[in-house]
Amino acid sequence: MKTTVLITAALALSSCTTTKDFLASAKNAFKSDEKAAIAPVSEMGDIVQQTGRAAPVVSLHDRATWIEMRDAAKDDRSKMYATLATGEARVAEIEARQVLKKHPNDAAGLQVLAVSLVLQRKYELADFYALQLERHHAGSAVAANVRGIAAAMQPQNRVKDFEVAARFFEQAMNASSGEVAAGLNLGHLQLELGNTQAAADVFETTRVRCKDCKEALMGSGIAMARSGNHRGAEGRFNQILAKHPKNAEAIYRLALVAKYGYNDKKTAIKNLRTILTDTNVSGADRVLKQRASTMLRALESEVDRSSGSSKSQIAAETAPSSTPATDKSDAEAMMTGMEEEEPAQ
Amino acid sequence: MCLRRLSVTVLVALFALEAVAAPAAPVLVSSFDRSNSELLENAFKDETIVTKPAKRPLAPVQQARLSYQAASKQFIAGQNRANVIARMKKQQNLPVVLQRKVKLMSLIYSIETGPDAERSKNIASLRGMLPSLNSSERPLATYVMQRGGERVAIQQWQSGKHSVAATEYARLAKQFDGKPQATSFDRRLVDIRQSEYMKSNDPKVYEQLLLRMQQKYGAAVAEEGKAESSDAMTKFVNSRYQSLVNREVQIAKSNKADATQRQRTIGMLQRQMDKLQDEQRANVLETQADIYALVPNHRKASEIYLDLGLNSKSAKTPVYLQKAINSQSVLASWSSTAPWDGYKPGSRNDRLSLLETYKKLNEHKAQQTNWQLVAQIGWLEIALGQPQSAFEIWQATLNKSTRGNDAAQAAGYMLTAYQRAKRWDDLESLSRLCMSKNIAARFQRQPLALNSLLALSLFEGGKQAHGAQEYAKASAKLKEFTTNYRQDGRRAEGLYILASAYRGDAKHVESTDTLMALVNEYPSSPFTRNALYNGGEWSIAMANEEQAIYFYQAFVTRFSTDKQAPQVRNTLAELYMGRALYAQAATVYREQMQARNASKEDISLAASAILDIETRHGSDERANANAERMLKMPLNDGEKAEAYAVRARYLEKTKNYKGLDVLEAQVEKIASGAEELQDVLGEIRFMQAQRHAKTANAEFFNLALRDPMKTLNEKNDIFLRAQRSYEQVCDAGKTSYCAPAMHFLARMAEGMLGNIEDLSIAETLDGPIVNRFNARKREIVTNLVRTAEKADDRALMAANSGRTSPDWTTQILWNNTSDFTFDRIAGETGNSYIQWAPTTVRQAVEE
Repeated sequence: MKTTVLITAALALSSCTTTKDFLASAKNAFKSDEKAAIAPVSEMGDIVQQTGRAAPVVSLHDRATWIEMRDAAKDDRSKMYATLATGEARVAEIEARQVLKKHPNDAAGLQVLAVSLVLQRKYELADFYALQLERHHAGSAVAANVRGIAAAMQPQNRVKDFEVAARFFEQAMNASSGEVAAGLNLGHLQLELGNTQAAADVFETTRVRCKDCKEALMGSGIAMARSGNHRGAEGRFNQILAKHPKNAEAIYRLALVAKYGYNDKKTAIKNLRTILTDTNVSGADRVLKQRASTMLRALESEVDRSSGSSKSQIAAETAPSSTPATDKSDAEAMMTGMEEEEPAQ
Repeated sequence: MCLRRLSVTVLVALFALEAVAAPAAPVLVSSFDRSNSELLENAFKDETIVTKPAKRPLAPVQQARLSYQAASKQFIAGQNRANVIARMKKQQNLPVVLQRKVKLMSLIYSIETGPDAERSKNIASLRGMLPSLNSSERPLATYVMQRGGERVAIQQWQSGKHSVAATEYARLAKQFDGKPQATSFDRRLVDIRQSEYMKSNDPKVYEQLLLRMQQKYGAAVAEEGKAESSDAMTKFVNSRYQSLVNREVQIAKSNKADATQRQRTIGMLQRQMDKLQDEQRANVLETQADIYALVPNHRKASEIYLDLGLNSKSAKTPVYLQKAINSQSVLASWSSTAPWDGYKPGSRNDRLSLLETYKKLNEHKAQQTNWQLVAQIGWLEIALGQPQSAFEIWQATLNKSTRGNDAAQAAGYMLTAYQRAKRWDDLESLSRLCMSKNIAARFQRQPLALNSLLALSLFEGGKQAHGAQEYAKASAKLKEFTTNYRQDGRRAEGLYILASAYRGDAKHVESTDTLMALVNEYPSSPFTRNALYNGGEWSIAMANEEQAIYFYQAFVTRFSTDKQAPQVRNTLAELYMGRALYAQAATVYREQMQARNASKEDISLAASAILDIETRHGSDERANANAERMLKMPLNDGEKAEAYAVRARYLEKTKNYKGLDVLEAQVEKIASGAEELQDVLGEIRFMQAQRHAKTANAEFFNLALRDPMKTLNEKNDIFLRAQRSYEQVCDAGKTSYCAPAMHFLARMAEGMLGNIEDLSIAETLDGPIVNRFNARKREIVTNLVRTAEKADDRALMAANSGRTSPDWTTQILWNNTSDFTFDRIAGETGNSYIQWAPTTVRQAVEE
């Protein structure tokens, strides 16, 4: 029975609980034979996805199961949801449009359409349908989150545009106690804007909501570190490592805490070397490795300097790529997105 | 068949009446024939023997006797009686007895053969003689008197004195009661009375006589010895009675008859009926009812007809019912044919009765459709306020038979009634029926246009169903209407309602397709405006963006002054933005700005939106032009800030630094207390600072190293000018450009530091010169290090306060703490998080 997947799901969000009546009605949406007796719609649970990542960040099922659910779906809505969960956003968009053709302004259709457009980075159109969702089904957390994303993703944004996005994310969080994605978006946006304390608060709320999901722990740890709460930050990163022992970013962040929190260059260097040398480390993409390398060279040169070497020597020998100009170009390159992804949870 | 039998009966009756009305010359019931010779002989025989004496002439008496004896023989033999009597009267010397006999003879003869005028006198004379007559004479005298009486009676009869004659015959009959002659007298009496009746046309006496005769001879039939004659008489009397009745009926049925006559006949028939068996009474009852109808007493007539019709099991039931209907129609003031052109007022109860009879008759003729009956039934139902019943029977009959005028009229009436009552479904189904069966429906003699009626029923029925939220039904009707009646003047409206019906029936694609057809085929119809408006709204709800754009664009183009146009423009622009059609969105917003019906808020929103579009996706030049326009409008601080920012960027991009200086001065004047404007001021100053830094860097490299000290100071001065520019950014107030300004200041200081460190003086110069140079260099380096550290601290602080953009924050953090944001969610390259779950729309799904 595939329903065991439900029990073994790594992350079960608080909002996954459903009422019995809906469970009963939703069960009919799928075939009843044993092979296809997968979780009905109500048991799909919340799904958190991130643009640029094919696999969902949070999902009760793996992709194969979603595909089975989609194939077994008997109604358009169930099929549409399952398709979206497989990550096939373009197909989900088409199916959502079909649902809306049959059920204009349908909440489910608008929701899936908006989400699928976000996943395809069609933010302006997603924003349009989120606005429709908001107009016709007030109080939708999804709509507010999509609108926040659309605001944050606009080209040539200014601070005020990000402030608009932040308000949408806050609205989404307030709309649903189970809303995690908006929390992650808001927390990260606050981090990007430099509001470390606000970010820490948001990530803490989100962490509780998502029951210590990796993304919230990471955001919380970063915010704590930037606001000087190194102990707290260390704790968050270690929580991540407890579940994901070779998580590259957590290790990198611990290196930063070691260096800037405790001035423990030795530990920092050790962590950075782990990232660069341990093949079992996960999520260590090119950008992170470059940053780790740069920081490692800087630390090693500091250590060397403290032991008598001149600054120019260190700079000449160990850190050719650590000049500000290089860093700046790296940063620009790295901001185009993560090229490697962590496996799905 | 029945009519033929009736006709034969009437003819027979007429023939019988003719026979009675002109009887042959009446004859005496008894006459002097051989059978009477005995009376004559007894009366006139003179048996006295006359002996002639020898040779002596007879005595005159004897002679007279002999003459008498010879004459009497002649008389008895009927030979030349008149001469005999004349001779005897002259005969002298007759004995008294014989004289009496001659006188008797004369009287008898006179009575028998004399003029009618003297007969009664002679009879009276004879009656006067009776006491003087002997027993042999008296029977003859009596007999003659009787005959004479009969003759008188016949004479009276012939002279029209029927009663006298009848009295005589009645007397005779009574006299001969029990004798065979009585029957003859009775027959004669019947004839006389019949004759009398024929003359007077008053059947009363005659009928009474016949009734008495019927009674008399009917009773006698049972008596022994009288059966044969009585039976014959009974048949005779019955025949006469029937003839009487027949004649009376004939008279009563004639146009000349009056009510009295008819009532009399009715009574007669009633008396006749009393003597009949039930099974024999039907015809008489029918006749009686016929006469009642002629009286006219239609109520009684209809009662009888109905009684016959409802209770008779004969084949004539339909006849009876039809006759009842005829009478009831009179009572109900109802025409004999269906009143397609209208009917007069009449008694409700009588019409109810008439209706029931029509129904009975119709039931009786159920095997074949009779439209005349059905039409009448329907009309009576209508007259009685039950049109639905009328229409039911008409409709049902139309399904079976469509032939004839009544069918066409009924169809026409119902069609017209349905139309007037707005019973569109009924109108539709009947129109279809008429069309399929080629019924030439008419109303008030005018043919009806069935195709038009079907179109009307489909159109109005569709509207009606739509109003009742029966959308499937409405869409089916209107679909047919709009498909089949393309030239109909109501088609545009039909399409419009059809679209709405489709929508109600959850056929949304069909709905918007229909609206599309409407706006394309009827661009100037009164429904085009709403069609475009709804089409846009509904298409958006269906995520059909192209169609929505088509509708809304057409709406704002054609109905630019409509009160909904500003709202439609806003939505259309949002849609264009969603589809990344920025130029179109900007065009719509520009139209909004120029629209007279747009509110200040709409105009302001449009201006900001255009600015935003041009800034993010368009040309700086257009953005600047729009900003200039905006700045002439009343704006809030945020809008002003955006406009000034766009202007500043344009001026900076076009290297219009004078203009930028002017703009800075303008913003500086209004920035205090307005955070948005402070941010713009910071941005302008940041631009200026960057420009100054760039200039400074150029100047650094342009400085010739002729005098190291001078070069050192000049470079320091250049840096300090740039530093002031950067610091002025933060002095603008609360601005997001302070952090980058400080970040760049620090970086510039670092660059300057390396540049200064590279400056050296020849150690071969004078010691004081070298010392001053080194001291100044240390001083400048120290200042640069402090400036860089301070600037980085300020940048980091500003970044950590959330008052700068993510890009600057990332650079600042990385530069200062090696902290790098690996997982950006904002910006064009960010990867944001999205969460969804079926449970969040659970309620909507359940609905």
